[in-house]
Amino acid sequence: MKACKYFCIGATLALLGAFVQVGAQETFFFSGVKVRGGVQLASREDNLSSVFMGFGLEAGCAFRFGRLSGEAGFSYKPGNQYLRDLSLMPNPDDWIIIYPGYWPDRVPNEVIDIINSSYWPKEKKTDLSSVDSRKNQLDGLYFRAAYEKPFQHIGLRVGVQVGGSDFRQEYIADISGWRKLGNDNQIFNDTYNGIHNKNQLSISPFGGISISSENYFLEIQLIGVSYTMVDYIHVPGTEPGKHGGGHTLFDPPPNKYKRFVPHIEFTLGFRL
Amino acid sequence: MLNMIKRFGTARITALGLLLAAQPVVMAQVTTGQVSGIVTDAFGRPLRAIIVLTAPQLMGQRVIMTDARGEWRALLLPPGAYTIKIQADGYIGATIRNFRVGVGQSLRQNNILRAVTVSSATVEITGHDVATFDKTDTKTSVNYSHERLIQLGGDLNFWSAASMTPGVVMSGGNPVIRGGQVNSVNFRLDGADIKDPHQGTVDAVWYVGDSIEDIQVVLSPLNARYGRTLGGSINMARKSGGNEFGGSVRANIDRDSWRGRARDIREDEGREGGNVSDAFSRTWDVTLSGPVWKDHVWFMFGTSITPARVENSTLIAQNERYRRTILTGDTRIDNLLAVDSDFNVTPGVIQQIPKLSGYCIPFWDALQSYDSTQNNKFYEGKVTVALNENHRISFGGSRQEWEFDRSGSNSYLRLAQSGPDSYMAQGWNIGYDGVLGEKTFVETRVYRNRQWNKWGRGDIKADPTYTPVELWLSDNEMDGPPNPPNPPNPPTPEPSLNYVGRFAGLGGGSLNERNSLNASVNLTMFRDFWHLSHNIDVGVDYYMSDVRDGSRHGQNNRIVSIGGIYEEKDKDGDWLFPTILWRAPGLFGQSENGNNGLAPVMWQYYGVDGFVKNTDAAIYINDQITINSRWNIMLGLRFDQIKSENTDGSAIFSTNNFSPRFVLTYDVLGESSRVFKFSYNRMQSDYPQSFTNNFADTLVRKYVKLVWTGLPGQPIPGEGFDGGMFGLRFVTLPELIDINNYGRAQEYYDSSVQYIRDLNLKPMYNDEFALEYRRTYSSGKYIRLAYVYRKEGNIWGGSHDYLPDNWVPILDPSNGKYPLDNDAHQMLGQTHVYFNTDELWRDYHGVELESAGRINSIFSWNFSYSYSRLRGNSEAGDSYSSFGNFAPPGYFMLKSYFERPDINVSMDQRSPGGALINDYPHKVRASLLAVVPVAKSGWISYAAIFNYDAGANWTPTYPASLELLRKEYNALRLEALAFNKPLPPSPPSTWTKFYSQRGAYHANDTYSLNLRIAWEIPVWNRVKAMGDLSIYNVFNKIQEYSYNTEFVPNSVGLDSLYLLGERFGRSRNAEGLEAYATLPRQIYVSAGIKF
Repeated sequence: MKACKYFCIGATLALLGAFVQVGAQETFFFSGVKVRGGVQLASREDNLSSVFMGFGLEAGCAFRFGRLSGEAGFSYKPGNQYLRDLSLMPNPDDWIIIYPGYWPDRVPNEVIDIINSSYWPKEKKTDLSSVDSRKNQLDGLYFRAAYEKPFQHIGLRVGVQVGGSDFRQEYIADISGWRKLGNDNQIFNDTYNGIHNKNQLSISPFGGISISSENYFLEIQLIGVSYTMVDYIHVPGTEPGKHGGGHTLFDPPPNKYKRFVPHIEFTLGFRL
Repeated sequence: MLNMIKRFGTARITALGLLLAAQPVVMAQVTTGQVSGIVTDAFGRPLRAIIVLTAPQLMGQRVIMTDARGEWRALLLPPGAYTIKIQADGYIGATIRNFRVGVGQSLRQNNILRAVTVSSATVEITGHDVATFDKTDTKTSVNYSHERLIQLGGDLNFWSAASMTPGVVMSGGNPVIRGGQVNSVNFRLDGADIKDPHQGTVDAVWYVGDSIEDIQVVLSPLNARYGRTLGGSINMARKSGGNEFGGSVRANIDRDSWRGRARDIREDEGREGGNVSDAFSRTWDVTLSGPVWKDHVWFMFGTSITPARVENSTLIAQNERYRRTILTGDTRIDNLLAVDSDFNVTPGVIQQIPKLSGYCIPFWDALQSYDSTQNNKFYEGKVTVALNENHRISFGGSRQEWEFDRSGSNSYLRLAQSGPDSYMAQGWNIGYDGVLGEKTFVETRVYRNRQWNKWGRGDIKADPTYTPVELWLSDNEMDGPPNPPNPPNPPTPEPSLNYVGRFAGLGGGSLNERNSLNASVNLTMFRDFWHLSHNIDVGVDYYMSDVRDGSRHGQNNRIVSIGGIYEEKDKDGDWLFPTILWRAPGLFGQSENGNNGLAPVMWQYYGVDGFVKNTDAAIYINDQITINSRWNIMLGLRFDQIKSENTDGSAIFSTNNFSPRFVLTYDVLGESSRVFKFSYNRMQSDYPQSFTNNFADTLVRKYVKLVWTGLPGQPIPGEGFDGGMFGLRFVTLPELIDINNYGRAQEYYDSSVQYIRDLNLKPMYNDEFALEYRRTYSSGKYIRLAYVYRKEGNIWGGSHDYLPDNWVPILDPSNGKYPLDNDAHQMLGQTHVYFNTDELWRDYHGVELESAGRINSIFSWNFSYSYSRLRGNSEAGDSYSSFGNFAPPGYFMLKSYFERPDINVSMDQRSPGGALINDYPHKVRASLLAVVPVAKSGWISYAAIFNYDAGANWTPTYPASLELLRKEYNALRLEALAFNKPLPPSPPSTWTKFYSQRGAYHANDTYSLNLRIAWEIPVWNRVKAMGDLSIYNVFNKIQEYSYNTEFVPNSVGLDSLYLLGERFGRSRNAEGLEAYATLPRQIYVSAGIKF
């Protein structure tokens, strides 16, 4: 049945293609495929790359007052792995987090004894440290609506993009530390890993110019990409994080930051 | 668009075929291409015209007349550049030069001829000046000419072509085509399948780069002629030769110091291979071709000469544990085992033995350098015979010999390496192409390939006798992690056996052989009936592969485990091995399973070589129907009888399978400039050798485990003085491997009763649905947009459930020769059941965007972008290892155990769905190429190629303990021992636990810019200087992998994930290096001449 369904859908689309009226600018209906690359104009944030890429399919109609078009596509803004600044972690219990290079010289012998008696891996005992490694990316399907006023082969364009702003954060961490509480020395070792997604239909306005020829067109636009950044927060010294999220009762909700980041994008389009 | 050229006489139109990545068309050819077209006047009326094709690779010329509709077609064209002349009475003719036809390619060349006007002083030619793709193509593919690869691709091989193709990702250096399994791509050279039937990849050298004419990467084989794949295929055609002598000599040069460096790559750690000589690496590629008899017999010859390369490497830092002997716990014996190196031991003689050092192999010469030598030779040849202009026969063959010798100057290699490893691959093929009539064509192919590996000393041409013995050395590392008070103790690992190698044998080494045979006949007919035009392919295709699966274990099919060896030979030139009589597991230092210790253990395997023959016999019919100028439909059906057989002909698997094919094409304007195509295609795989070998009923899958019963008079260890030896004896190799010194069978093994399969287990298939749109502009530029969906079916599941119902007795494979020892117990075996299941899934979604065009006469560009997702809950035999991964998927591993209420491990932890290992969502390739003409026939090209690839994904997993199950097993085992019952099979000690959705984490994306300069410059007469300079990753942009992780139980019993890696302030990972996703900058140069 599933095969039949796909067969029918595909055959229908192929048949619908028979009614596609493709052609040059002078026709009422136009369509095209676009590939796009953009560069961020502001300083890099959220450990995302400053560039993004995307592709889309456009269809529209030409009227006397201008051209209206809709575009559906996919955009992608990658990011590289980064190490989270451990000093920024909320630390209500005043744990001393063991950073690279801190161990063992600055750790009291009493604490070292506790660590050695605990069931930690041999390697970890001799190289005790903390790391919180993360990777962010922004991608997703989008839809654009645009209005263009053509002047000969150049046109002025404005529009809005909805979507293309699914933020994803991967994190995997292993932090340890100690503190003196009264007469006792205490240690902790939290491990946690997980994925956070923030999917939303954000609205990103854009505007710019397009330069057209019979078969191709080039668009240069400014776009303010809207998205919500999600940043997982872990409170050190809470119960060791379990696999699959590391969430405990002590973990606050993830931080969320709304962003509006201007980009300049270059689009190459091919008329269909 | 009309191209107006004003000229007297015949217009000369330069084709832009170099830029076109034509869609494969109707004809399903793998060694030749075709051109078709229609000739009309300016009013669209068909013309009676004569088409003449000439080319160096075409014996004579091909003369064709158009039919009543003005159509013509030329099939079975050897790949290369053609000149096409079109003449019609009363009309100005057209000549198209440098019209390139690629392998398997089908092109369309339509022409509009103008009538001659007597009064005009000028004549005008109108017509299309570029070839368009043939919309009736029955595959989706991309072609790369020799020249294009030289200018853009780098290497003249499959992988360069695949790397540039949208819809193809590279996994471990091997192509994954539209989500198909990495070992399911077919590789064909002149129609011959050259894939290693066991590995599933191409590992041998089968061609010289300069002998390659064209490469085609087939993304979707729609024509029913194609089968045996879950992905696609890559076809390559050699040059055929011609009426003029030609040839080339090219030196490919590489040097280690030309490479950039990544952070933390250490070269002087004492790792094996860490120091590599900075010598020039040179390979000479030589080709020669020409006529034996003009217009009738041509030859082509090629060879690749690699001067013997000597590399200096350094052995790894020695782990101290490998310098200790296996200890028995009896201090009297143990004191005898530490002796001085200068002492000469006389075997069998009771004597006082001073201290020896460096007792264990193979790591005596730590941090010492050694030399290794590689020799590589390759030859190929092809003879093409034209019976007449319509019938050709070709004969081809190739042979590669590779030898790697590490028996250099140090004791490790001298001891463990009894000679060079060698590898050979050879194949021959015969093909016949015939034009039986104006509308009937036939192609036949037969080929046979053999590949074999050989390890250990011996002449690779000698008949293998398998004389060396396979030795395994006991691991001295008896330590395990400390026992914590909480949580429960993790299982104490058994000491391992370390493979020594095939030791000091005479004669040949062990052999591993892979063979394949293919024969096919294809008939192509063009017929008109039912008011429709039909292009019909009908034929048969037979494929056979057999693999002798390295089942031999050294001399006489034996493996021996030893406790140690002296680093020097005795005065008689014999290696010496210490032995004690085997008492029982756990006594005198023998391990709990009895396999490790000073008492040797022998596994005697039974039977003939592992040998499985897989066949695929197919018959098919395919009809490409032209309804009118806008509509085409293709219907195809393929029937495959797929079998796997044992040596004696008994069936392992046998199934019959039908694969339907369907394509609907709509040409919007009827001129091939705007074409929609919808296709459905079932791709049927066969049974991979790496899978069926597990079910071979050959006796090598059975063994008896025997223990050392000693030399005559050798006493029980520790009992009596024995002249101060206390039962210790030093024996020579012949004594060690003499089965008469063994007995007291401890264990039987028989995998043939343990691997249960459904005789009707069906091979996997892929159902593909694709919707594609192609827009071709009059200038030759094009854009292709495609959406592809593939769903895999008949996925194999393997059940591995530890249940009494699944246990079977293991019978004596020696047929009574070695009855079980009184202290041993009969064992029950665990069965593994393989079946088709719908509970496992694997889907692929892909969007491909591809475009190419020419800016002017010098500059051109290519661009492609692929977005794809390969998801599922099973790798379905796909993995980085070429052997495939058909181990029971997590879902079926101990399924009933995990579903117990007291265990309750969810499927998400055992085998969750998500991104599979070959899921690389983004791939971008963009290139700018400038080809500057030099003199009359030369050129210099400059290319900039940008690559962008998504990072690999990974899943944190951990071998979690099966503590409860092991306890249950121990209880059953004790009960069996108490009541003298057969022992239950031992369950696994760990299972793979997932700590996230599959493929949830990703390594960094990678990108690089490559620059390439290539040239062919006339020097004298027909002689040209040729060469290229390639700089990969010009800016040395290196992306790191993420991190290494380790899961261990933490202080409260939960599994915690620890991150390893020096930049995290921790110890290095096991390999001691950070991992990098991109290679540092590399420079390659080639230079030579051609004529």
